[in-house]
Amino acid sequence: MNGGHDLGGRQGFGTVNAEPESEEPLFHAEWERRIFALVLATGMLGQWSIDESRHARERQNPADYLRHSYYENWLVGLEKLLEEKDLVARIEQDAQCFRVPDAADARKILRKGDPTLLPDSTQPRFRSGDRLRVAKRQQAGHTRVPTYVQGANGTVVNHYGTHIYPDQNATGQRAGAHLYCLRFEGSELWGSESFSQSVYVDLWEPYLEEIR
Amino acid sequence: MSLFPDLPIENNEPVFKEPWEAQAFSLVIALHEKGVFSWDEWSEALAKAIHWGPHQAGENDVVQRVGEGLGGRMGEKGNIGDSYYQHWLAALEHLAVAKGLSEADELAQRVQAWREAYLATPHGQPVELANN
Amino acid sequence: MTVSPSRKQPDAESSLSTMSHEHDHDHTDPPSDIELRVKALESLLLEKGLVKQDALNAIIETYEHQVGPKNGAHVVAKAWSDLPFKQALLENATATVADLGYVGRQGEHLTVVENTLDIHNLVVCTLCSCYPWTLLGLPPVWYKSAPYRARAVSEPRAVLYEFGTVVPEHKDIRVWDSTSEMRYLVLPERPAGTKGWSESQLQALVTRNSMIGVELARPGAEEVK
Repeated sequence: MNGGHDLGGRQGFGTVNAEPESEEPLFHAEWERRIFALVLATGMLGQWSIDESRHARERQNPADYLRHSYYENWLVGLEKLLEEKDLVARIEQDAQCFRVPDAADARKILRKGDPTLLPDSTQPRFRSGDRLRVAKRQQAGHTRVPTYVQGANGTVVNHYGTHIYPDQNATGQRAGAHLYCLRFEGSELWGSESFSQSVYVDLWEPYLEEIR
Repeated sequence: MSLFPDLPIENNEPVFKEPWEAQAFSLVIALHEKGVFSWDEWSEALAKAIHWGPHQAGENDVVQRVGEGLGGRMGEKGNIGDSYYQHWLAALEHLAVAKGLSEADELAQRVQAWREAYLATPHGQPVELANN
Repeated sequence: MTVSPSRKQPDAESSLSTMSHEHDHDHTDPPSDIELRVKALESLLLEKGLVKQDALNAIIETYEHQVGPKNGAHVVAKAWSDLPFKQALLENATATVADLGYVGRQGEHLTVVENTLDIHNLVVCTLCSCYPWTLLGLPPVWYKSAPYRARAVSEPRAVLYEFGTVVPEHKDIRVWDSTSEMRYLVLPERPAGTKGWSESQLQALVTRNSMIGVELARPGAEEVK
């Protein structure tokens, strides 16, 4: 879906106004620290994937998504996932139904991470140097193809192997697809005045098509 | 699909035989007004509950509990007229679970509980839910 | 549109101290709605046993005290002083930084892109806030903000200028939009005037912002005026 989160190339947001690096605290309020830890800890119950979690934040009225601060969107996402996955009712019915991590488990899980690289089960359709077009899509569910590259032509600069495909992962199906990195010239995306600038975007095979 | 399929209304017969039937009815209307589900979703859930039959629906202990909680005895197994609001409750329970209703409510209540705990705690003392 | 939370969301302490002095003292002013919602969520999850307090503490401790930009600065300074390491880093960053112990969440797959005389790299995540946690810690507010996510891809020179960074027109600006689980780290140019500097001296020049690509590394001795 191309909701409020799909921000690349949008205008009207003003300047960046960064806080100086040496002065910015890691969290700006105690509630941010708490929600950060809660999102990570509940994620460790293994009841949803990172893409389901992203999709839960994206599924908001775009005006709400943009009005909220970033951690507020994390809170909205977690509230939604708890409801939809019915976690409270499930643990009330069966106290043993989740493996709830303690401090040692949590540290182990953070160090282990969650790699998305899978063994290849198909041959890649494309290779470095190929000129390709990003398919146009108006997809209701989660996807990781930004609107601003849809319909644009780019060049494959890297093939990263088979990675978990987010569009399906967000619906609970863990399937893989070949992942490529494509270079798009600034002039292709933003017009002829955008010279000596380019954008590199990671795109899965189903997002891409041959130029006809 | 009709909004209330197979609603058993005969001439001069009271619409609700028991108070809990009226309560269940108004609960569904209220939840729809809150936007919890659409009438299409409701019709589908109710049609399914009727299709499964009173036996399956009646065996659902959550449905039983809701029926008791609403202050009345559930209708006996029998024809569609007797068990109509049993199906109604089964459909309601199904939708409530599907929509995560209970959890959302629990969180909303807890937000309110914390707000009240703050208001009930003298300034400078630690705020705890138990202060509420 | 996007203001930093420090201005938008006062924390519990400041809202209490500014709001409550006018009232009598038989109650405590409730904090903002969002603070109440987080409190409600945390108390519910703890009470039901869905999360454990010590796990929450361990998570916070990890990102407040263990993982941060000093990891990335170590990698960059080593690359500046050790050519074989730099080559390995550019060829296979994931394995090369894993050898230094930098592994984990939001750093599972890593690519390092090198700034040169002709190329300036910049990293963004237009769709959310993907960021190499294992090397840089948690992202700053501006990295997650709408203006940066919207404009880094379309007008990178203007965005860089707002950070005080001027990139000459002959340089190709390459913007890396982190749409997959591949994370990108910029290897900044080694500053002039650092000949013979030790790895730890160099490390002090490597800022977080230089590894995102919005700034250059701090200048070496001869350039300090």
